[in-house]
Amino acid sequence: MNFDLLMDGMAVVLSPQVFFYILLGVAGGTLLGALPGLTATMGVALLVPFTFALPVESGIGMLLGIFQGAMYGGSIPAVLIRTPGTPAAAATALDGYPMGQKGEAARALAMSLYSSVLGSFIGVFAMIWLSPQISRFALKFSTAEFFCLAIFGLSVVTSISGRSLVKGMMSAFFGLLLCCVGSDPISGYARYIFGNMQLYEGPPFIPTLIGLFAVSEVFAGIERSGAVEKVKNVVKTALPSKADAISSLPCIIKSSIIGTIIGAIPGCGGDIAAYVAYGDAKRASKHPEEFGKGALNGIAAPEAANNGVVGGAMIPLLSLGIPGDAVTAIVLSAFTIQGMQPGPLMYVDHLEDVYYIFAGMFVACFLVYIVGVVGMRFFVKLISVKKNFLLPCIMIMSLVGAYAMRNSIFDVYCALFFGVVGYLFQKKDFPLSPILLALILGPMAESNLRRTLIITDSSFSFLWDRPICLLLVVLSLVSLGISLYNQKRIAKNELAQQLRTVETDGE
Amino acid sequence: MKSTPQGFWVNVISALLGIGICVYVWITSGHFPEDTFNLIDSAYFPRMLSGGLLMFSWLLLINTVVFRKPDVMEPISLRNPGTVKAALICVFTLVYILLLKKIGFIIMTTAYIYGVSVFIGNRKWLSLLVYTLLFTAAIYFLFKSLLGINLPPGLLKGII
Repeated sequence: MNFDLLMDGMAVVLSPQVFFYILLGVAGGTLLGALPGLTATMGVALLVPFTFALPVESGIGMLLGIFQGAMYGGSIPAVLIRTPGTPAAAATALDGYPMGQKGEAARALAMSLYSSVLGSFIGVFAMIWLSPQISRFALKFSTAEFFCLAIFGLSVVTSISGRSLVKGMMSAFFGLLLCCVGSDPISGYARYIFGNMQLYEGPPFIPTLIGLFAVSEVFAGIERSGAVEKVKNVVKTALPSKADAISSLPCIIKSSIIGTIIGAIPGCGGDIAAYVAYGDAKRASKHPEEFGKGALNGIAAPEAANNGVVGGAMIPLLSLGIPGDAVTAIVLSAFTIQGMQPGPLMYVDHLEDVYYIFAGMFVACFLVYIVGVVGMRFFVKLISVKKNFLLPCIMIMSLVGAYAMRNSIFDVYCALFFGVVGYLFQKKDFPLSPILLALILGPMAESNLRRTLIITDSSFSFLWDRPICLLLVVLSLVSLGISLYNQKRIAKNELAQQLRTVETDGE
Repeated sequence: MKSTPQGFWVNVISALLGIGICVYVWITSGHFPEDTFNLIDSAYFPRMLSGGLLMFSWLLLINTVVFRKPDVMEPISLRNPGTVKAALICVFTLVYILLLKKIGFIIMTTAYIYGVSVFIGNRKWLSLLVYTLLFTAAIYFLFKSLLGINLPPGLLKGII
């Protein structure tokens, strides 16, 4: 680690303008994360267009703030109305909501903020130490290794496929075929553009993802719009008591490390980390019977873990240029639009940018705490905002975001089109995240595969002849295995949670 | 959610659509120019992918038709008022986009948010109008002043 560069990055991040945009990002991310039903993916997709017109430092800073804020924000409605703001906060609801029912919502929210911030810091530390080592190794990569790396990234599809693996794979292949629309990366021949030159560069990426993740959610929200749950608890403070802070510290540190490790594995997102950490905390507890009824460590563990994931997920993103999940895929695309290309070469050509990101993540962690403490009462009120005003506003923000990219109405049509596609896909149980992952990794896979096959005279022997390729193929298979195992585990936990909910409602 | 008979047909139609896309991709890629020097041309990757999609489309079809494993899913029915609302909002949004350049962002956005909010159940007309105007103005000036992006002024060109 280069301490001087980290200090230089810190100097940029702490300049008033950049600091302001990071703060804005954290506040916006927390706000959208706190709105029940709006996932962190949607929040990040919705706010990303706001970063385009900003100078690079401010844009990236705001983006990091959005990412950190959205991960934390999900815990607020999980505690107050048993509706996690993000899937990663689902495990937090197990003990957070019962604490709220006992009149201890303030204590639960304070613990969720405290453990989230500590989890984020530990994740960021791990990212700073580990990502340069991995990128140094990745510098040995040629086109063959990059193709295998894309395959490794795509192996994540199994873990984000939802209930049906076959449908997840169909979504992924649909996304990969979408990547073929536009100019051929080698010959420049226009494929599947139907005479529309606006498609020559392929479907516009940001409008596509805004459509898939934001517009489709608005349609779904309108369809199920109903009564808004009122918050009964009064929250006066967001600071944990000294006793709570000390007693939960070992659990938080352990869970943060779990979250960071899981986050660094592509495809293993915050939801998996939260459940694994929750299970571990329960096993390690002297009073496991209290879990599910309002145990403090039942909040600390999943929150520390799902925020540790942020730093962990940035490790493969920065060092290898492969996103671990849908949120990091959006962050990667926004980095690219800002002129940054995460991956091993970034550590050679733009090392100062890497350290700037490290510094930005640190400051964003700190600001999550400030925003959480200052804005807690506001976020609590926000949960009660009527959806029938919120949803059209989100739709407008989505359309404006799509327009802002190139000042093009065509992009707005694209956002609407993919919004309808996303809505139908979700309704019929076809997951959307594999499409996003395919849109990111598809072009990387195609161009590198074709270049490799030209060099090897159309032979696929590079897959086993080259040690790194072989390693990546094996890792892809291991990742597939782990993902399938975790998928079963999550399904089991969800079933248990549903049963618990039914029991609680019955009482 | 309960498994519905619709799940069977949705899976069958989805699988057939997947197969249709594969056939289209395969046939269209036959018209791409061939590379005289390399065997790996523009059609190589789309054909490879269409093979993958074809395989999983068949799997879905076989799972559904032969093994009778329809997935658990929410039905889309025009008898469901929520679905009708979502479909109508889609039409409103299309009209909004069509008129955005001509009428302008401020007028269209105010009309859209107000109209959609009322349509999906907001009855506090006066406060809604105030919030709508505030939101529209905030977004317009945020993009214009802070981000330097001009949203279409339309009829208000020269006034704002």
